[in-house]
Amino acid sequence: MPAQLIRRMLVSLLTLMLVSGGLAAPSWADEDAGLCKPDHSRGSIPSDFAPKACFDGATLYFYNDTQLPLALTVTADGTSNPQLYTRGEIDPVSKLLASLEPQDFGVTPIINAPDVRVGIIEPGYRFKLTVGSAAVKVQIAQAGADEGRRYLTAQLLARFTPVGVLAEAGKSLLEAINELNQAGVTYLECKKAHPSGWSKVKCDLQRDRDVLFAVGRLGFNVLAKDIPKAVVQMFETLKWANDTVSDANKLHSGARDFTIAASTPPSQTSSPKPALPAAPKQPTPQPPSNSGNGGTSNPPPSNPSTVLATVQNKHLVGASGLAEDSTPAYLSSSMQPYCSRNNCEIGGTTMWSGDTLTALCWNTGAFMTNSNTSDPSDDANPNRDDSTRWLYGEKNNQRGYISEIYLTPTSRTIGVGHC
Amino acid sequence: MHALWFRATTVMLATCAGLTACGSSTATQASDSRTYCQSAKLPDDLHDKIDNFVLGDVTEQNKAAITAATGLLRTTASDPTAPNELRSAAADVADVLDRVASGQKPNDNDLNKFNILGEKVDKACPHN
Repeated sequence: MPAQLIRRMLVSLLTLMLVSGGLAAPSWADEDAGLCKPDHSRGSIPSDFAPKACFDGATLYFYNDTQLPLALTVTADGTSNPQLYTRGEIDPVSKLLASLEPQDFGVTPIINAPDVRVGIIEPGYRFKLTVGSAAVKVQIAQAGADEGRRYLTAQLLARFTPVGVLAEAGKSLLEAINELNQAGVTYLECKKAHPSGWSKVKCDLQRDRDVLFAVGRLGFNVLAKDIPKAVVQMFETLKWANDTVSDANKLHSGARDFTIAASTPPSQTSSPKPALPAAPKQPTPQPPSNSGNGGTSNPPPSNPSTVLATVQNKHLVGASGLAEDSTPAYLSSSMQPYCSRNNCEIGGTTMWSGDTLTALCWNTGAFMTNSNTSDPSDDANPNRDDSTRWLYGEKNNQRGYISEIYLTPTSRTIGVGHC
Repeated sequence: MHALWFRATTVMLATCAGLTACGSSTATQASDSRTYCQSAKLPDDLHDKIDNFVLGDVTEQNKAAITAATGLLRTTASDPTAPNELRSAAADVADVLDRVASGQKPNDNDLNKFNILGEKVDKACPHN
């Protein structure tokens, strides 16, 4: 099939999808008026969370009712079925941008930590995600300046040119918008350095030239005449320079993250090492069962077998390699990754390979692996360890957890009991 | 405290009002009045005129403003009392403006000429 014909068919399809309002996903005509029937058993969503959000016990729902593209980050293992969708009429510019850069919220595996899904929710769009039993951390932020400016620029172009015509520009539109935004950023930097005089003329002329070039890329004949001037004027607005809009203030002043707790794990009589690699994640942030509350002041379990465990602060490299991590291991107050950034790291307990700690007991927590889950070359590495087992131990008179993947193979099987 | 501040301000104003100028600006004014400094000065309306022209308003009025600025720079460029580097920079920008007035888009090299002229003017005529 000739390339030109294929392109024509794609453009027609894109235009048809725009007109029918079904670009990113089908509208959900059968859904209730609200986002969902909330279930608070695993936590509540803050009332001042800027975009609308709801959790029904199995699925998280979001609705970007702001005028800003929002960046959503969901950190959890076991999430599935991410879906962007719309209900009713929404801003055609949002549809256009969503169609030009589809957001699939695909999984980004993180070594020794829960998976991450990241994506942009354009204004008016909704998003839902099925979550598993693991804890889910949700973070929302104003999309980067590039996305915000892209939206403003697309809105401006849409004032002069029907969205359907813009859509026909396809990828060229996105390139033109990005070029326009770059021209604006360059101009603002130049103007900051040269606010007046002949050097400022340079800033102006460079901006004009770049804007004309970018608009020329679109190839509009009829309505393009006023676009360059409008774009240049837009660069001078505070909104474009700083994204200072009320929605941004709302977002900045309100809650920007929340956590859905892990579902309560079934009671366990023993903790055999889970089979690889599909170990269920059962983060249990509570301290050992015979202690009152967590973290640094837990009493030791009854009749602990006090033995030393040796740290192996390493990750896999390729088919057989093992290399020291760039950051130290440490004890944490909960059996979760990222404690150094989430305030659950116990101070004064950092450890490198070869360091030892007193082993007190085992418990079951977040699933961890020392492999790079985005690199298949280490899948069969004989040093691989995937586990939900965490050692409760003592280092420098502080007590806390460390995932067994940070221990030498021998230390992973030392004889201490379940907490 | 406020009364004291007002009194001090009043004294300063009275002192300056009794002279033709205050502080070091007297010498600067004399320097900037030199012919080459005046002709190298950026015309007030050039920003808008050149913008409008480049962005599509190819009117005689806009073009005339660019041509006038070019003429002034040629004056600086041909002034034997002006520093050579200023003369050279002025001539370069005059050439660029000529090309802009004829409809050409400036390239990066052209754009840098404006920066160079700005530097030379700042150096030779610091209070332009």
